[in-house]
Amino acid sequence: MAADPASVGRLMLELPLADPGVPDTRSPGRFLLWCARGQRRTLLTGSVFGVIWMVSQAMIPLALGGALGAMVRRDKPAIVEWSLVVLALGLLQAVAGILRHRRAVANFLICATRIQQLIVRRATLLGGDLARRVASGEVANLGASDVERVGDALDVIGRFSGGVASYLVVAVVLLIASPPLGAIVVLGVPFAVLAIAPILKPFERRQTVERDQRTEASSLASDTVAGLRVLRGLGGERVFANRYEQASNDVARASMRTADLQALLDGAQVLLPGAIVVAVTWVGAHLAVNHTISDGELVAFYASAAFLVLPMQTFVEAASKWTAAVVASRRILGVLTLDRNIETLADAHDLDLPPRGAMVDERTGVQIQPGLLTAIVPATPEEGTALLERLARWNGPEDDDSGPVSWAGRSVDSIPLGWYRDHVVMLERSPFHLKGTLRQALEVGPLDRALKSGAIEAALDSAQASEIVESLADGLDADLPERWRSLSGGQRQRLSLVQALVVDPYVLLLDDPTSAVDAHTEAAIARSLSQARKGRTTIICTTSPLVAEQADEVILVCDTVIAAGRHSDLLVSEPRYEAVVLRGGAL
Amino acid sequence: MTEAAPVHGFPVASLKTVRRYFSAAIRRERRATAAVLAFYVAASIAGLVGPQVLGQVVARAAGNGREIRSIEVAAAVFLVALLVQGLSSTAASRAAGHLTARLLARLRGDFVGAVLSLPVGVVEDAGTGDLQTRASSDVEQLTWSVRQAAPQMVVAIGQCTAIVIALLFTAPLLALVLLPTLPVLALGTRWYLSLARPGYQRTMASWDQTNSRVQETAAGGRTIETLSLAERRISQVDADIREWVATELYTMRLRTIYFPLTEACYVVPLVLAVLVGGLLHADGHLSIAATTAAVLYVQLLISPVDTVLSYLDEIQLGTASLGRLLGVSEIEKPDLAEDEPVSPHVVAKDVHYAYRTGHDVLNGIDLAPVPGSRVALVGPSGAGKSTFALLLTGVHAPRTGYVRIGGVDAHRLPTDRLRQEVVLVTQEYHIFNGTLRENLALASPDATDAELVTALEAVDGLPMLERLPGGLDTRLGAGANQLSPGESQQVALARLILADPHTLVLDEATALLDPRAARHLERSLARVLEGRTVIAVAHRLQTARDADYIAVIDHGRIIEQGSHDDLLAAEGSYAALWRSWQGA
Repeated sequence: MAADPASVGRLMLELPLADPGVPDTRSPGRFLLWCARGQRRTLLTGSVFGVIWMVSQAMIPLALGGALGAMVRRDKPAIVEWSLVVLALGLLQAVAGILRHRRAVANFLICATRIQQLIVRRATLLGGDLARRVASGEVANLGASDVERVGDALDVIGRFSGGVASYLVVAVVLLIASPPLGAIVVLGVPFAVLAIAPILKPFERRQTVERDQRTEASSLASDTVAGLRVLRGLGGERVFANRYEQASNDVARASMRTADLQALLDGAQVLLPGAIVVAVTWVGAHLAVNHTISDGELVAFYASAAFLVLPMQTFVEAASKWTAAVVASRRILGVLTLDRNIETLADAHDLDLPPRGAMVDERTGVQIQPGLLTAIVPATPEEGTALLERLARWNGPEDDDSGPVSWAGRSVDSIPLGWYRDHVVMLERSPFHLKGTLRQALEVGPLDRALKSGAIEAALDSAQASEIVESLADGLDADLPERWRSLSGGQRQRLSLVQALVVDPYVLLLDDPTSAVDAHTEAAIARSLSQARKGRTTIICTTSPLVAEQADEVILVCDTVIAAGRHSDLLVSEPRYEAVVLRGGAL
Repeated sequence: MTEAAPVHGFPVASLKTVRRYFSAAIRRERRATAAVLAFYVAASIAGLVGPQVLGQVVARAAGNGREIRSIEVAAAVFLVALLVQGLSSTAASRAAGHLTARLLARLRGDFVGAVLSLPVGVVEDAGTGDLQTRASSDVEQLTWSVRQAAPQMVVAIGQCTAIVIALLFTAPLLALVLLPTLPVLALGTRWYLSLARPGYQRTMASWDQTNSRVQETAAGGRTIETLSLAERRISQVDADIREWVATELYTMRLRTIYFPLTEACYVVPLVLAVLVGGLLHADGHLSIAATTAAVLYVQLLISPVDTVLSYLDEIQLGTASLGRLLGVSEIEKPDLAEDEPVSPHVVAKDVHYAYRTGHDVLNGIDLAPVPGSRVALVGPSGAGKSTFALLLTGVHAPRTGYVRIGGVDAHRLPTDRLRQEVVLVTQEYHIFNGTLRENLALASPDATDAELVTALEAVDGLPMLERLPGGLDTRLGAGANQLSPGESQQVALARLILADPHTLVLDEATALLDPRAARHLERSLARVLEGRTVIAVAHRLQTARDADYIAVIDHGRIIEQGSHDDLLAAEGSYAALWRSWQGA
């Protein structure tokens, strides 16, 4: 036992596992079993200690009975002996209790960390496909509580085993002493547990309602706080105060409804086990008077019956945790069972890659010459985005605006997607901003392709973003919050551009990358961008003359190519072009 | 906002204030509180009958105690006591549940009320992050403490008291067995809590970190695939997990010491009761009935003592949360002006401003727009344009110099009054969870549908209105219809039109729209705002050209000013930029 603390600790230090394994996703039940199989050892030892823990607790009343018997006989040595037995049992249950607890923690952690690993691995495999296949709300709710529920289901196993064993011990001891007493316990405990169960279901339902109301009120409060500047700047405080008060009153009402059943449950948990204690005492007293059992035994049985509250509560708890775990597993499997054709993501060793020649969007006739900076000026922003997504293969075949794209005469669909994603990168108009340090945000690109030293600094300079780093107190180690809320729109946009430049792909597609920066900065970005991408294919969707000016070629597109050439030439030769980029007009 | 404002947290109420608030709340609910306590006392006392009855039965059976008429009477007493205990527990639990629900509702209302009356400058300075935490975690913590921990604590303390009193009556000498482990328990608990609390906070933080990383990985799937971040995300989550497990391991180690220690502290008094009680009885100093009851009382004490110890921390955390919630009410309201603005003139004179002492962001700006004119503020990032916009709208007070509206210092105007004069719209929009109508009608709750539609039309918002399935009644926000950033800015501008102040300050208010859409919007907006003073921080040169007056700001100073044509003639930095724009 002395070696124990190290053993569970060591097990936990091995988390997260190098490989979480391949789960059995055929059904929630099989999934739970798969989780349990992965941690057989801690489940087993946890149960063993659980049994020792609970049984030694169950024996304390019996030892107290023995002591009482000795007292009635005024047998001093026996009194001393029995008190030592109580001490030994008390210490044994303390030691077994903590050993069981440590295994319960390990059981929870092994399971929960493994599931988190599985989810994150599945999510990265699905990548941009995930959002298309799962409702956004579900993506946001993924994780946390469901993972905890499955962990809880394994955590409770040790205590449950102990509960069963201690119940059996008490039942057997009483049965041997007196069949009627034993019968009260053997039948009473399941009866009490089953009697409490019907309250449990509606109680949990009301708890869920209360929790939902609370979440709603809380999100209303967060929403009000988040929009506080608007409310204080423009007005509307009264309306929001009233709205919140209503939500808060709903919470109060829901809490009261839960409290009503909680009260019933509290009462039942006093009355039902209490009834067993009274019955045992009553029957036991008769037996004691008849000298069928000794006084010591009477006290022992009374205290044992009182002890049974503990296993009874454990049974109820285990039942509700296991039910919750099945529901949670179903939700987790909703993501884990999604699949994506991995074939296309595999790295290919195609000697003909990259294709040497122009990329052609057959739908509009746009031709992208390799190694040049091409500016695309679309009739509408949507048209520009759709064109870039075709070139970057981000639109699904089911999209209305899909269409064939060829590269050096070969259909891009014949190129493995894994290679394509690595080499053709599109910066979206509103990319997702991941929380983390600025350094984490900028260290992008495949792990096996080491960043050149100075790559980040160079990209920061090109995107005119060095001053952002300087303005942050911690520089590159600054923490960026969720969605980079602490930065202005222009700062976020420039840092996203830095990310794309750090990846430094073979082909870079940028969707209006300077829309939120001021003209001074935009002009500087356009200049440095053309330098940074010299000799590499870059495609920018834009309507800014400051950007178009720097392009090797500008293509004006409205369903089809309307004009192509250099910015300065088009300004003279194509009045429609001048209308779009200089006067912000429409085509 | 380009410059990072220093973050001061909001105040935290003192323990005295918390106590005062608490006792006032209890006083308001005097009767309910009394009822709860009465039921709990009844339940606790009824819970003590069992050991007494058993002691009597044992005494009778042993033939050396007081006569008890029959076992049936004893059993009946026990049964009645059980019923009293069960029913009182039910009644107490129900009454406590209702009482705490009312207390919490009131507290939440008070908190949100206080938040909604915070001065604008305070919100701008401190940010909403701290308030966000208070509105969510602190309310949640307090709810947990008040709904779960407090009643359990009251019950447990009541039971402990009742048991100790019963023990003193039954066998006063045996009550002494409780004393030896008391100091160990107290010191051990103090040690444990002092280390465990920060430990659990770290666990919670790293668990949240792990979860939010997993969720972001799912939500940002496309960006992660684009930037080839998959492997990094996996290893980051693995690192988060490692840290989370390490924090769990730390608290588990603490428990590995603390739990057996407390268990030992519980078992020692029981052993002493058996030993001392038994020997005293053997020597005839103590009746068997008293000994039996006393031993059972000592054993009965374990569970409530354990409850008290395990909820101690929750109560303290709840008190701390309450302090933070009440703290928001303690923010000082700025010294307000009593004079009324006499004209719609906005005048800034020699304005200096610094976020950090010694680092002026604004270095003496003068600006006095002609009422009804359109002014554009242009200049590179970080020049101080946004800061100046905040000062113009009374959010901050200048360090030296002044910003006056109709002769009154802008920052000293009461919020309600200020926003009739001047309103700021920045690129940081917020769409509230609610209908489009609710989102538009903030400043004018009585606006008709026609007025709302007109305002939307002025910001080119009709296509958005048509797109939304329920028109003005479409629910917006998280989990409902999402607006694009551009559409959100349109909503923000429509709100502004409905608020109808005489001066508007727009800080990049159309930056998130497509340049062409922005240009179109600005023109239709200009028609609606004819006659109002519009000061616009603009990054697009077309916006500047449309203005009556342009101020070029750099390093917190106006370096060039005048009409578009004046500036071109001056051949300064504006002219250079414009020419490059024109491709000349």
